[in-house]
Amino acid sequence: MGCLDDDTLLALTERTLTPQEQEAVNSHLDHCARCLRLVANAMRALAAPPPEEVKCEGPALVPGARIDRYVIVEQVGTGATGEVYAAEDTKLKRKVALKVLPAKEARSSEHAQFHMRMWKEAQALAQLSHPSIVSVFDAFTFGECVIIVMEYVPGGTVRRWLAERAPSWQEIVLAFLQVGRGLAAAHDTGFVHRDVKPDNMLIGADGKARISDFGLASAVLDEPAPRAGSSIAVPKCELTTTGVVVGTPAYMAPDQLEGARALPASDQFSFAVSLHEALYGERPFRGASRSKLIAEIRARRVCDPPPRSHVPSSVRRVLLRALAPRPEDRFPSMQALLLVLERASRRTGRWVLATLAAVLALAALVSVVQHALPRPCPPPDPLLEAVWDEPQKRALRATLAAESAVEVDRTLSEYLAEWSRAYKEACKATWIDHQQPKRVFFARMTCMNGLLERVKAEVGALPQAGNARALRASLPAVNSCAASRF
Amino acid sequence: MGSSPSVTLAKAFDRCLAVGALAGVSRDVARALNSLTEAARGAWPKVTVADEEWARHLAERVDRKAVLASLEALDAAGLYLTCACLTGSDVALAAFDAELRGAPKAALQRLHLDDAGVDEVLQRLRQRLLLGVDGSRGLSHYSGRGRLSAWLRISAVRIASDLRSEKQPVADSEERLLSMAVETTPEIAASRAELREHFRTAFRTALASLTARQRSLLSLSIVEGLGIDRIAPVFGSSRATIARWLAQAKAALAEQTRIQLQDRLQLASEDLDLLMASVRSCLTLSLARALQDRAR
Repeated sequence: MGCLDDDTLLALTERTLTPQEQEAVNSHLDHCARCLRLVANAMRALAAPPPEEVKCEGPALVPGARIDRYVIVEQVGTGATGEVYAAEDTKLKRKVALKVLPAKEARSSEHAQFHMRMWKEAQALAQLSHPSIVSVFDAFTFGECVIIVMEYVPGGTVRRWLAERAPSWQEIVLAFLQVGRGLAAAHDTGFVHRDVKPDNMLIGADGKARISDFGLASAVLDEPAPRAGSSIAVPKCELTTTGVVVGTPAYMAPDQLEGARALPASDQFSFAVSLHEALYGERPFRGASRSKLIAEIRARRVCDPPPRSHVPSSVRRVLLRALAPRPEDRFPSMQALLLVLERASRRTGRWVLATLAAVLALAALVSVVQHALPRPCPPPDPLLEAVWDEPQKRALRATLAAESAVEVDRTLSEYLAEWSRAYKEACKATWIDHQQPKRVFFARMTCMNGLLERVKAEVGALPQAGNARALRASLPAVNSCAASRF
Repeated sequence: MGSSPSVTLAKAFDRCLAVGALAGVSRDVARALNSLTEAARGAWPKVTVADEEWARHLAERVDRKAVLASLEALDAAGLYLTCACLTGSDVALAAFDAELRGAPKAALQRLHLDDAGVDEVLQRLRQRLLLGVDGSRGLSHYSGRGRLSAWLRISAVRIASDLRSEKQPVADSEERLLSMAVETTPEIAASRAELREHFRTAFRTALASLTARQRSLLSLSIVEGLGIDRIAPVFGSSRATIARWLAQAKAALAEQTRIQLQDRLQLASEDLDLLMASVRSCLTLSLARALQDRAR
């Protein structure tokens, strides 16, 4: 569709577009900055909407909204059971995390019951205090929904930590030992988590790992265990629905998957699945559907570790036992698992660390030698060609007058030659003369790389606007990177 | 009004519609025409338009496939006034000028235009609607499907928007997003030039990696400073959905920026940590706050 006409714009502000029209408008707005601005102005020019009360619609809470004595700072996540917000406790002047359950889910009686259970459980959990458990401070109902006030842990989930930091297996085991202690403490007090997975483990800025969302998912499963073979009673566990989601099938023990009441041994199983995923990059069992997954677990078909895994076999043996299909074949308790896991990791720890250090040193050496020996400073041609190559030259000759195409070519060639000289100089100083610290070289190169990107952008804009003089004026100075340092 | 206007009106309307299949105007349509006309003349008692003229004006604006339904949905008063203006009635033109000083003016003031700016836009609007720019008078484009005041408001906003675009090219909203990100993050604003440059490049690449929808959302929210309540109707979604999309877009932007920065600055350094920390806080918190301040 073309640009928005007055009727469409009017219908948009008055929300009377049909879904098809709306879809067309949306697609157009995605690509037309002019109409987007027009729409923005149109919306701004409307009379102010009536001020809305804070409704308990999880995701709609905006910074500054007030719930009881808590003021929302920002949304920090979308959990399985509700939205999670960072908030300021105005009374105790501390930052807390608020878990908010959407109002519409509280309306049905089933959910009301769920909320009641959750509320009770949260209150009980509030009494459970352990350094490896994200504390629950308070739980109360607000309007139609339940608010759980939890300890605020700056940092992220273990999943993010794994993806971002690529920690060593030792660091991973260390983090899981901490999480495990929290689980063990909770088991001792009679709580079962029921949804242990890397997304529910947090690593704080202090480097300490904790288990979170404790019990928040559990209350609903406290229904009487459904009879074996009944298919409907198994809670629905689709990962993406925002309704009541309890447990995540991929991490669940087979007993739990089949609808049995979750036990501490189920948490143990989920813990092992999570640890397996953290250590080897994949979960131990493959199975696209629930029934296939159960079959794989029952057949004990645990995926082989990747060929070059450094994880010692003693650690793997711990995992395999915790992944046993029958709860009674797993460790008698979380505590027992941790004890064995700790021992297994410590026995091999020192040796592996030494090897690791040696490997790293070797790798560093190799890379230096590779740089230093055959050709310490290879010509930067591939980089330059990405900016100004034959097809581009041809394209420009086709659009610009012959004279100015020649001019542009000369300007760019001169610029890139200057860039090359600067590169050679920087490279030589570091890798041949050893006069310049490597970090300075890297800093310069990142800066100079940025220059090339800008040049690339300028070249891209040439066919519309360009002449050589304008181009010359807009090229960033090569020597602006000379002083780059971190 | 008695029954005679209804009859002449219906006849004229039928003639103007010139639909062969429609053997005469149905009773319902005649009744609708009559009440439409009564409402219109009631709203502008001093404005007179001949039945023939008025019937043609209406006939040109109804949906021939659903005459009755579209007739009933029209803004009678608005159409009557514009019809009279197009015939050149002085009374109508005076009334129209009064209309311009109502809804459109208030809307322009909400766009934070000063008095001179408001006058300029109203002047242009008047010219475009009454004198016409491309042969036909702009007023003839009024379809009657929305209220006249709303339509005038939209037209005023469009002119204001065009004026703004003349002074401030629209193409670089990404660039403005970027400079806002840089300026509103103290750590980045204060950092050395090359760090800023890294941030810029990383941010730009990160922006490019978002979906078009995410970019439009961020643009409306951050560059235009619209609140969730204002953005929701644009996409025909609930404010909850918009809030979630926005949060996702911001998170994706922060995450991508971080990844890009990490790629670029391979050296672990205090500067990098500082930058990372501020990128994260910048895109989620300080930026949001800075923008709320702007919107206020």
